[in-house]
Amino acid sequence: MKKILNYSLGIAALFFLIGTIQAQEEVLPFESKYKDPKTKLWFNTYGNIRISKRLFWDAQTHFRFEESENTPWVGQIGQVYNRHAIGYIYSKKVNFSLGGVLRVNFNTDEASEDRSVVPEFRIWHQYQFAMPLYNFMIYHRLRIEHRWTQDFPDDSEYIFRNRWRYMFRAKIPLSNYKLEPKTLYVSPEAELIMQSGKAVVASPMEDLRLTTTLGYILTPRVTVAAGMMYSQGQTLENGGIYKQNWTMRFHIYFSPDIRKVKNKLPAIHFED
Amino acid sequence: MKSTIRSWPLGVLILLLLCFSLPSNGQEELHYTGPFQVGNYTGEVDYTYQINNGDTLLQGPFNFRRSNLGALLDQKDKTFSITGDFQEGFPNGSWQFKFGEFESDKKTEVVGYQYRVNINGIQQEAKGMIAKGKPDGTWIISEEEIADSKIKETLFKSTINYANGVPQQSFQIERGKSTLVGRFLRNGLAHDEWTLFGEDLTEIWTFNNGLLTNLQWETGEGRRSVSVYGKSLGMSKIINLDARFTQLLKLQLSANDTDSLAEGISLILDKNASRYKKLDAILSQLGPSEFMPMFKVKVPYAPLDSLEKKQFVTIKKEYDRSSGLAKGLLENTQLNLLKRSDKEAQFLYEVVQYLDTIFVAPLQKVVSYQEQNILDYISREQLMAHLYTIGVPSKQVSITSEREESLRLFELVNAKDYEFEGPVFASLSQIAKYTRASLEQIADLLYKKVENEQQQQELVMLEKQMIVQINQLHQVIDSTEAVDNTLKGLERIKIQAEERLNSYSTLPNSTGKLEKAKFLTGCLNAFENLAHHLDSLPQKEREIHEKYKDAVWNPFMANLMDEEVKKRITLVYHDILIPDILKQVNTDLDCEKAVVLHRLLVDLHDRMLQLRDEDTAKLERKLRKEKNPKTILALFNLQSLEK
Repeated sequence: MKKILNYSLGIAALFFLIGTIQAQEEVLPFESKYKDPKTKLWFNTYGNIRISKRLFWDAQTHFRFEESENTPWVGQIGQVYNRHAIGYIYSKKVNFSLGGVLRVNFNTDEASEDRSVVPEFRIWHQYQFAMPLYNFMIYHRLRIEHRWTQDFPDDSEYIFRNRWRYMFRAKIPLSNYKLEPKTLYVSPEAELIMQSGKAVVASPMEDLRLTTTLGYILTPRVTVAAGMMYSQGQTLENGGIYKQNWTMRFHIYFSPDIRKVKNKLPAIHFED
Repeated sequence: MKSTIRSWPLGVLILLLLCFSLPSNGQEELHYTGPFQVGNYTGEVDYTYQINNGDTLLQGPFNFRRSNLGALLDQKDKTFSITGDFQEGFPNGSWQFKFGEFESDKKTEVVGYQYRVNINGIQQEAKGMIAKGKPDGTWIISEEEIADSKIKETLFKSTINYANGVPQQSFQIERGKSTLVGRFLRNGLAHDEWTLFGEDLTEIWTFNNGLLTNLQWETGEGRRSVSVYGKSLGMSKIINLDARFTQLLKLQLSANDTDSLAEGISLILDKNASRYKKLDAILSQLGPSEFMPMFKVKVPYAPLDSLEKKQFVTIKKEYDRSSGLAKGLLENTQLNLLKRSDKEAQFLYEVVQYLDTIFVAPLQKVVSYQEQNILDYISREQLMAHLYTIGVPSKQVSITSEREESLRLFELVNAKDYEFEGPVFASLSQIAKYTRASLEQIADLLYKKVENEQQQQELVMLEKQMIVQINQLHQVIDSTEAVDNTLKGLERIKIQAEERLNSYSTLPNSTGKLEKAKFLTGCLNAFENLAHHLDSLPQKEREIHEKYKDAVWNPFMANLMDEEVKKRITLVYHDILIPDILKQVNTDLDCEKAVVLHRLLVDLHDRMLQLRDEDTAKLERKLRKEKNPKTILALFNLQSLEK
């Protein structure tokens, strides 16, 4: 019985794969084609809530809007993100996180008559390394996501993909000699998002994001930032076709410490 | 029947207990051998004693000694040996005292079965009988020089016979090459000729029934005789022939004869008495004793009557005051300096010197005679003649200035009120009063002079200080980095200080000026302190700012950042308390306020530094809505500005 089931699943997957290849093969252009860029606006909150000497709760909520036919940037809601994780502070410069994402995807195809909202699930883990350089900081972030998505039609199946993300970012103080409260800084960043999975045949480069942000450190616990991002990447349907986006980004970073005072005292500095 | 059997052993027990307890309760003799100390003498003792009503009563033989061979060989040994008997606590029976101070030549020799060491030094010895603590029979006290363990020379030897403590018959005292011989009546009174045969002088005291009638000195050059107490003797009294008698004798004699007296019989008697005293000091610590020679003499007796006694009290009182005044003036260093530059002071100083020698010194003698208990044995005329050999001094003190060869006189204005002539003690008390009054008047003048001089110098110092202070104040304000209200406050302090200095400078040279100068320097000091603190306010605020920071790890930046903590507290400090203090500086500043504000600023700063480390959650809650600086200070546990 089990053999039969495995067999039939294998056949089904084969047909699916062949179907996809056939579909791509059909339209793969001789030259890469770039879609017209979309305009988007993201409003992101990043919470980093200290819960013990070495652990924190990474709580992010993002609201992502995009253009509609009539309104650029904020015409309609695209996604609402809930990203959570438990982070481990290895040292002041190194931390790791592991958690889950519940993303709510809205159907932005105004002509579509399919479902208007579908959930998306991810398990993610990330490895972040910070390096002081001159009077600024640079950061390397490796993030790996295991992603289950489905399309909007009622009978859509979940497809599973892995995402491989690397981000390089710098934060350079502009109005001060170092990153401290009441400091304006600029943060250029570049992130490459690769993907893999059975559904990914010719479009491993999901997204390349180039962003520049201006931030202001209000207090050691609250920072605000705003920036502009250009991104491009292969569409899953056709590796020869590239989507493009211009995204305005607004961020709030906050890092409360919910530990009792007496627990905070000894361990602000880790090793030093 | 039963009760009889039981009570029988109890009765026996009580009887037995009584038998055993009797000797211990009664005259059981106990024995002590071991270390012992009498006065300065420490050694080994061996004696028997009884306990009588809780007291230790020496009874029987007593032997107390010390010698240290180690000390002898090392440097010198002080040895002694005291042996005798006690009876019912009294020294009684045959006694012998030996005191030695020996050195050895450090050569030893073995003779038979003993080591022998030769010694050099002095040995004092006394032996005789004692009856109930008093010398009885013949007592010989001697002192010998020992060389190579042999008597080399007798330095002193007194042989006196006693009957129950009273000297009897003849006695002999040898001292060096002099020998004193004399005799007593049965009652111990000196009688007949006491003769000292010296090397080249013979001194003879002739007594008649205890009364010294004549002194005579015979030398190779001739013979001199002085009669002492004549036959017209009024009241008389028998006293001991001791130092007091010698002192009395001196008062009878001329200065020349007094000198002759110093070396003769009186000295040898004194030496003898001191040896008896040494023994008595030991004996009287062991039991009741009167071990003194008790030679008796008869002297005229003229006790002070009640009026004279009162007058003497006055003399003593006035003398004490006068001598204190004179000493204080003569030893005053400032006065000693002042008299070099001030003629008047020089004159008065010399008057004090004169009064001290001519007036105070005789009064001192009178007081000392009373202390020696001889005033009652001296005639008033003799006393006067002795005190004032050239007559009673004049009230008028004349001082000749060496530099100007001029004569200046000092006399109390009311000199006539003092009557120097009259009965001796009345006259003396008048002299004493006059002396005291004169010295008081001079002291008054001189101390005023010194004080005035000091005040002038002090004033100069204070005024110099003021100038320094005002200059420093200017410097602070000229170089300050303070701005706004702090700078205004500094300017305000400067104006206040200038105003006060200006009003001081217009003051006339009056008596109160020194006080005002002292107050002003204190005031300027307060202004200066306040100004210094205001000047350092920016720096102090930075210090507080730094103190109220805490390093926080920022996870987004991955670095440590300084976080401002306890903002509520720093906020009231910057926005309420400091502005309020500055407001007060700028509105109603005076000297006292300056002191108070400076104190407050110092305390506030210290408190701010303390609060950083204290648990202030409650305080911060209370501060949330508080705007009144007084209430905030109270919450900070600081004294409010209001007095």
